[in-house]
Amino acid sequence: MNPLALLLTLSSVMFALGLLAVLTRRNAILILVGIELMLNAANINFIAFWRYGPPDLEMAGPIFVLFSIAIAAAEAAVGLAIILMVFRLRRTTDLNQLDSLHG
Amino acid sequence: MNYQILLLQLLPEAVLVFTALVLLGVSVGVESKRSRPVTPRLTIGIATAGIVLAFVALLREPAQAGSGTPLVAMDLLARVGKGLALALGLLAVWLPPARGESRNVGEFHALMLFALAGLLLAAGTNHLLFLFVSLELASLSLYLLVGFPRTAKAAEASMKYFLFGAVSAAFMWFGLSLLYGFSQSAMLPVIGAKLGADPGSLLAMAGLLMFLAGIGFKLAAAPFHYWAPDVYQGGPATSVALVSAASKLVGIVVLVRVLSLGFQAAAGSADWGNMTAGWSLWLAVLAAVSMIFGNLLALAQTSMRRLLAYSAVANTGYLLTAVVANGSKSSGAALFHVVVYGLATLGALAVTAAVERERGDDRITSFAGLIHRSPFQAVCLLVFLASLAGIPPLAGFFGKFAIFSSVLAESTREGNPGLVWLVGLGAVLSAASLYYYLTVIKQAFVFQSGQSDSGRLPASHALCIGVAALALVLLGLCPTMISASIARAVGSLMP
Repeated sequence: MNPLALLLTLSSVMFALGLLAVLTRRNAILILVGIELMLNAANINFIAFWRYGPPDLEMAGPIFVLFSIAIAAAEAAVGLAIILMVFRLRRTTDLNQLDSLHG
Repeated sequence: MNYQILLLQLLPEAVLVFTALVLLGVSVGVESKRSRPVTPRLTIGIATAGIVLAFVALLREPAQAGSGTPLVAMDLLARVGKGLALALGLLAVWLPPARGESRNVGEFHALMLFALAGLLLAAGTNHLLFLFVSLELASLSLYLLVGFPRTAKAAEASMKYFLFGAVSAAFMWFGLSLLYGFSQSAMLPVIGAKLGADPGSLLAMAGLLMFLAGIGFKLAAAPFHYWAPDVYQGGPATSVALVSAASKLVGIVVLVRVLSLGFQAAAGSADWGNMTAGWSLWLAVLAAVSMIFGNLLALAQTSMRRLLAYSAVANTGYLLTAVVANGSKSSGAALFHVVVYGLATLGALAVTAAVERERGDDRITSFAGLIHRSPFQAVCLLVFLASLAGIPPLAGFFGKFAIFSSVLAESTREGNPGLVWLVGLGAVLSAASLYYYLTVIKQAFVFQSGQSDSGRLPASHALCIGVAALALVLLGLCPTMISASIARAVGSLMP
C-alpha cells in the first residue's frame, strides 16, 4: 500500500469514528469531541494530498490546515460557551433531556 | 499585491467590521460613563448607518480585472448578491430585540454585522478555503445570535443549531479536502477545468457530495433541516430573520456560483427516464424531499414560528428545483425567488414578534382579531402570507411562476419529459401550502379576540414591517426592478 492510500484510509476511519460519536453520544461535549475528530480527519487529508500528490508550489495544503486549526479553535470556544450556558440554565447537557422546543 | 486595491475590493466588508467595532466601543463607553446600558435605538441607528455606508461602498465601480487578490471575485453576481444580502440584513437589524431581551444590545448588533460581513465575503469568492472561512464567520456569529437572550429556550435552540452546524461544517471541510486532493487547487475554475478532463472522478464526486451536504444544512433542505424548527421557535426574532432571509440568499448565490463555475462537468441529469448520477440528480432528490416534508409538516403546526420554519424548508425545495435545471434563466429565477421569499418570511416574523409583544406567545390562535387590534399589522401580514402562498399580484407569485416556467422551458427540449415530475410535485404542494397560510389569515381577519393593551410598536419595528410589505407589492407590480440585474449577473456566469 502506498503512503497516500494508507493516510486516506486513516483519515476516513477517523472521520467515520467522529461521525459515529456524533450520532451515538447524547452528551453535547462528547459530540463536540466527535466533531473535532471529523475536522482533524480532513486536516490529515490536506497534508497527505500535499505531500504525496503532484507538486504544489503554493503550499496550499499546509496553509489550509493552519486556517482549519484556527477555525476549529474558534468553533470550540463558541461551542463550549453555548454548552456552558445551556448547563447553567438547565443543569444538563444531555440532548435527550433538552426537548422543551416542540410544536 | 497592491494593498490599496485589496482594500477597495473588500471595502463593504471592512465598513461592516469597522462599524461593529464602533458599536462595541460605544456600548462599553456609554455603559461605563453613564452607568446604564445603551438603548436599542442608538445601536440600531449605528448599525443602519454602517450597512448603508457598506452599500454605498459596494456601488463603486470594481477594480480592474486581474488586479488585487484573486480570492475576491468582483463579478456582477458577487455585487448583486452582496447588495441584496445587505438589504435583507438591514431589514433584520431594524427588527428590535423583544422586551427583556435588550441586554447588551450593542454586542447583539455588532454580532449581526459580523455575520453579515461573513455572508458578504461568502457571496463573492471563487476560492473554496476563503468560502469556508467566510461561512464559518457567518455561522459562528449566528449560533451566538440565536442564543443571545440567555433564556432556556434560546440556549437550547442555539446548542442544537451549533451542533448540527458544526457537523455540517466538518462534512464540508472533509469534502473540500477531497476536492483539493483531486485538483491540487481550491480555485473553482481550476477544479472545473480538471473535472472537464476527468469527468466522473470518484474523488471529486465524493468531495462534491459532502460539500453539498454542508450547503444543504445552510439552506435547511430536508433531510438536513432538523435544526430549523427549533431555531425558529427558540431564537430571538431578529436573529431568525437574519438566518431565514440573508443567510438563505447567500446560500443560493454560493450554490449557483460553485456549481456553475466548478462542476458543470459533473451535473448528471435528473430528467425523467434519463437519470444519471451527478449533482443535479442529488439536488433533485433534496428538492423533492424538502417540498414534501416542509409542506406536509407545516400543515400540522400550531406555532407560527414553527410554521414559518417548515415553510422555509418547503421554499428551499422550490429553490433547489430551479438550481437542478442548471440554466441561466432558472438560476436567475431562484435568486429572484429567494429575495422575495426572504422579504415575505422576514415580514411575517416581524409581525409574529409584534403579536408576541402583545400576547406573549406565537400560537396561531394568538393572531385572532389582529385586524381589530392593529389593522396595519394585519394588512401587512396578509401581504406576506399571500406572497408566500404565491397569490398574484404579489411578488411571491412571480417568483414561483418564474421558477416553474423556466425549469420547464429549460429541461423539456425535443419532447423529453425533463423535470416535469419535479415541477408537477412543486405545483401540487404549493397549492396545498395555501391551506396553512390561509388558516393564519383567517385567524387574523375573521375571528374575534378579547381586548388587550396594544402598546405602540417601536418605530423601527413598524418600519421593518412596512418596508418589507411595500417591497413585496412593488416587486409584484414591477418584478424587473431587480430581476433584470439578477438576470445579467447570472448570465455573466453561465451561458
